[in-house]
Amino acid sequence: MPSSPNKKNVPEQENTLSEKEKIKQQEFQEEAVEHINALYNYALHLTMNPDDAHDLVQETYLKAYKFFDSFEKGTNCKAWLFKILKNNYINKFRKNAREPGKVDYDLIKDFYHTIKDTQSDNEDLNAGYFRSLMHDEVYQALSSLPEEFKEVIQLCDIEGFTYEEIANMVESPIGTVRSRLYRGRKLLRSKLNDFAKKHGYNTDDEETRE
Amino acid sequence: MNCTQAQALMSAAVDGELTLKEQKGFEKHILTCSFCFNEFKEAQKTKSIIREKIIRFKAPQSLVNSILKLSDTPL
Repeated sequence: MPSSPNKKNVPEQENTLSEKEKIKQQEFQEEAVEHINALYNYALHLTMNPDDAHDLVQETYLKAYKFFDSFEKGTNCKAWLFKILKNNYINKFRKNAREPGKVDYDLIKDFYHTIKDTQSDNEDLNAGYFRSLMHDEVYQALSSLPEEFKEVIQLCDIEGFTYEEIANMVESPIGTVRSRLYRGRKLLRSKLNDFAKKHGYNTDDEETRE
Repeated sequence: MNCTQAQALMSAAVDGELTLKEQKGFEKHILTCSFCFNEFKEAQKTKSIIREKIIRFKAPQSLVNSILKLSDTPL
């Protein structure tokens, strides 16, 4: 074989990805990016503001990518991302933000109408008078709960995390998660009842909303 | 098991988070206590209404793009 000029020790260009980075990038794309919608919804619930939610998710992914090496393979990547987002949220908004538990109903209404068009389809439920409840009413009922209840219901019922994962995210014992879910669901139930009553139970196609 | 104990286990019963022993005790109690039985059914319904009717938003495409781009660049 003719010997070629010695190019072996020329360093790689700095703006291309190294092999290691390529593998990391691929793993990140496979593991993390698929949870973007779930994270965005969680961020919306926390911030009640599409722009803030956008920023929060973006910063979460930036951190996650930077520290992707510290993610334990085989564990729940979604739970890991949610935890990062929650921490980010606390650092960013909680310090000088609204008091927990106080909800601005007009804000929720505005917020809902702003981004209503992008809603995804949900299956209908044939559960007695709940049939008459509209998606936005359920959303409003959940949003109006005190934050400690809203959060566990969202993490458990919507995102499907286990109690152990939730306990880790909210930094409370599992017993606390249990009781918050119990009390939160009771409270939510009574709010849903109010909505259902307001619009009449037995109407099948309840379209009249203000 | 009495009502107070059953209520402490209520959410975990709804979410399938009870141990076998807890599950047995809970089931035994709600068979004979209509109050707790109803609470259990209501909690189940509440969970399903949330799961099925909550609005899920799609992340804006600009956000998705920026995150895809993020993992394209070396840190």
